[in-house]
Amino acid sequence: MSKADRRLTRFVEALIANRRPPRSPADDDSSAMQVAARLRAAHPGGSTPSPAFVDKLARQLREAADHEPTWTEAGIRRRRFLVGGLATIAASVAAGVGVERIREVLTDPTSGSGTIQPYKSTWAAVALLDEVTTGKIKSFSAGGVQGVVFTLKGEIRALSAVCTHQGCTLVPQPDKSSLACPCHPMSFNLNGDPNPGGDYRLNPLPAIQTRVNAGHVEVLVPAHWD
Amino acid sequence: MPPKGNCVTPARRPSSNVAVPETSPPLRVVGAPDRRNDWESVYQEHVAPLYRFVYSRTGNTPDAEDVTSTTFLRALPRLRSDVSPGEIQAYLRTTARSVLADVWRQRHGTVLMEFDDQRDSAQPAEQQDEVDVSPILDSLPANYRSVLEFRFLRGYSIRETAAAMGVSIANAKVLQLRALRRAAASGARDVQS
Repeated sequence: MSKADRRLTRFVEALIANRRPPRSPADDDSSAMQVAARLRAAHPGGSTPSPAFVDKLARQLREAADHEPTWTEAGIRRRRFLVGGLATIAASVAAGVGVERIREVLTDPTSGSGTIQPYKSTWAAVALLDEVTTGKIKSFSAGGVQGVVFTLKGEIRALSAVCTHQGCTLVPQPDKSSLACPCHPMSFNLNGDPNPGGDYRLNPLPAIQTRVNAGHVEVLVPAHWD
Repeated sequence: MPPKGNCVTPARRPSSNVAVPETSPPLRVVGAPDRRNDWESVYQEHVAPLYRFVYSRTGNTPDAEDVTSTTFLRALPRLRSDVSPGEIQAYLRTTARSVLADVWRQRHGTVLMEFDDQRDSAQPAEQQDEVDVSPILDSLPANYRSVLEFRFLRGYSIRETAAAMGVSIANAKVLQLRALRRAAASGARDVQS
C-alpha cells in the first residue's frame, strides 16, 4: 500500500468508528474522502442530533445571547450603529448577510425632520400673545396636532410636542427651556433637537408654522377633511 | 445665571405625574416584541435539519456536533426572527459550508470540492438533508458498489466485508480504496458534463 492508500484507509476507519478523522494532507484524495463521508452519513440511524448535544448547544447559545445585545433590548443602540455604517451594510449585503439590516435602515423613522406641511391646512389660534412671552411655553392641541408654542430669540415658534421615540406627549419645562418626555429620561431643546445625555439617537421634533393675528398666536395645522 | 428676559413667570415645576424616574427600563424599538425567546424558537426549529446537513458532509458525530455548534454561535446573533424560515435556513447552510471548508482546509490542506455544492444547489432545499447516495453507487461496477455498501452503509469491518464478498482481506482493503476513488472521479465528471 502506498502512503496515500494508508492515509485514505485511516480516514475510512475513523468514519466507520464514528471518530474524527486524523489530520493528514488529502492531496489527490480530497474528493474520495468527501465521498467516504457522504456514504458513511447515509448509514441508518446516524443523522439525528443527540438530545444531550441539542441541550448543551442551547445552553451555550443562551450564554452567548446574554452577552450579545442584538437579541435583547439594544435595538436603538444598534440602529445608531447601522445608520452610521452604510459601508458596513453594503459589505454585509455583498456577503449575503444583509436581510434584516437593510430592513432596519429602511424603517428608520424620518418623522422628526422638517416642518409640518399639512396637505390641506388652516390657521388655528392657540394662544394669546402674552401667554408666549420669553420664558413661557404654551401647550396646544389643534387640528389633530399636539404642539407647544413659545418665544425663542425674539421669534414666536411652535414645535410638535410628540416625542420622536415612542410618541409620548412631551411636557414643557420652561425653567430648563426644554420639553421632557414622560416615558423615558430624554428631553428636547427649543430648537427641537434632542438634548444630549441619553443613549438614544432621536430625530428632532417637527416645527410648526406660526403667525400673529389680532393679538393671537396662530399655527398652521390640518384643516378638517369633511 | 438668571433666566433669560425679565417677564418670566415663576418657574413652574412639571406636575408630579410627569416626573422622570431615574431608573427607567431600557428602551425598546417601537413595535418590537421581546426577542429574548426568539432565538430559542429559531434554534429549536433549525437545529435538527442543520445537523443532518452537516452530518451528511462530515460522516461522523464529533465533527458534525462541532460544526453545528460553530455555525449557530456564528450565525444566530446575525439573524432576526422576522426573516423567513427559508432565509434563515439558507443563511445557516451558507455559514455551515464556510465552517466545513475551514475545518477541511485546516485538517487536510485542500479545498472542498466544488461539485459537492453545485449538486446541492441544483436540488430543492428540502431534499438536501436527505442523504441519498444512490447516484454515487449506481455509477459503479458491482464489486465496487458492494464493498462500499458493506463498509459504509452496513458498517462491516474489513474482515466481515471480505467474507461477505468472498475475497481476501488484502483484496477487500484495496477494493474499498479503488471504489472510493472511482466514485470521486465519476462525481466530478458528472458536474463537468
